Amino acid sequence: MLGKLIKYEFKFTAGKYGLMYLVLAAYTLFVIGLGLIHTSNPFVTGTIGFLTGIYFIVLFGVCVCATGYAVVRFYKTMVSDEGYLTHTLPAKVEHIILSKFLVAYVFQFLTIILAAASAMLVVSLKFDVNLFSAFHSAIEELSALGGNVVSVLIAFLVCALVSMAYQVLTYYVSIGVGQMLQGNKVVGCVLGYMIINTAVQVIVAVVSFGVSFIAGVSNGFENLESSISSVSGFTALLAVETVLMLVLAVVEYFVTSFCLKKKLNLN
Amino acid sequence: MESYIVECRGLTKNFSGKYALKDVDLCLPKGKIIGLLGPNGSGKTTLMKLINGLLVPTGGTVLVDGNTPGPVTKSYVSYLPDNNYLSNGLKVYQMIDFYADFYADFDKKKAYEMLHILKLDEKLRFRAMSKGMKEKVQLILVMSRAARLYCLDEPIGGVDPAAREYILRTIISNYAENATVLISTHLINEVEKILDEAVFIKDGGVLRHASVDELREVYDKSLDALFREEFKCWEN
Repeated sequence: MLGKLIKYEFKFTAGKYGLMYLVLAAYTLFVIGLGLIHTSNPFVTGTIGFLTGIYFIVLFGVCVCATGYAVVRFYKTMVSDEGYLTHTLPAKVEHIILSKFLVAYVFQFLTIILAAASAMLVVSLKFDVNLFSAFHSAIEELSALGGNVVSVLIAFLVCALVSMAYQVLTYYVSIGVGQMLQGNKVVGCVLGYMIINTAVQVIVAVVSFGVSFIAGVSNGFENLESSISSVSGFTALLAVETVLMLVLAVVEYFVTSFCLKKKLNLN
Repeated sequence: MESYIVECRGLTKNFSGKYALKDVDLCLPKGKIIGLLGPNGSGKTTLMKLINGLLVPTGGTVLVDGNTPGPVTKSYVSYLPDNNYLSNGLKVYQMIDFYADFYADFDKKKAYEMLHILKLDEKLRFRAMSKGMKEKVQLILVMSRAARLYCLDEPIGGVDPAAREYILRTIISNYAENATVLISTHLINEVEKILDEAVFIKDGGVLRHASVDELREVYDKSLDALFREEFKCWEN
């Protein structure tokens, strides 16, 4: 059943994401094409500058729209009219949520990859920046700080991937909790998100501070600043935050399942 | 011992302190067409939703063919809600494929036959359909299943009299043998001739539950006249 749920979730959402990627690809090519125009006409150069500026809005807009679409789709198919179909399928609520999460996650990931590829193309071709040498010099600078640069890059990548999952599930749990509010579910979901997000930020901040503090105590508070700002210190902090977000994401998944199973309010 | 398709024991549901259903004891037999009759706000839709697991009871229990509402019961209950649940961006054939994939009892051939009788284009998006057309598609999807229980919430509430006739005919001629059809409506006159049993529901409680013949005999009046008397909004 999970396989079928994933198949249809992909099928029903791919078109919308495809359209967003098409817009991004078209505008990326358009902006790169603008770089071929060489003129001293101030009106033309001004227009080119303006259109290039719009590119960054499109880039940002596609990322926001991809997230927004995932959130709106979850809301519509789980707790609004379309929920009547979703919740009468012979499938476990946990599987329904998991299928939506996995598909949203894959498209979020794809969106970031495509947005990054687009930005790199524009920066390297239009602004004539050698990305390879820029990346190389950044690595050298990091190496100069001491510690294992590869491990910090891996820690950063894993943290980013877990953070993405955690973000999607934070939206889901807000909807799961918010739909219980009688009368206005949308207000409930927005309020739910604000409260849950604030609470989670506080937890992450307290734990991060706690870890730094413990590290400081173990050092006798000598070289505290340098131990945190060093590459290995930063890697350790990233690892702690990653584990914390992973735990919170799992908790959010189960809370969402509980709310939509035991407290479903399709009223 | 007789087994029931739906068994409610002390079933209660309240919303923000207001009871939509209160302490309902109700057993619905298998193989009958049963009318769930009551005025607006009497608790008909709430009962339908509880049977389908779309709401969770505040108190009491509901069993559907011996199971609490969940993935198992959903595989043999076919539900037509009183609102449109179809995604506007989808086409009719996509929804038919979807139903065929998820419900083992869905008959694709039957669905296409009904679509053609009603002259509905399977390549049409729901966005391009009128409210009445969407209701017909929803009814086709629901009645193309060989379910054990059909829960039809106001299936004729929003359509014109000509379409009502067709919808009732579709229901009678398409429900699976030995299945139970539970129809919620306040248009008694329209459904009276097809009902075996009637459940009168008022203010969240069951007022009466008997066979239609028995009700006619005891009260010496039609179901519609009895309904009007029970639920009259004013006193002479």
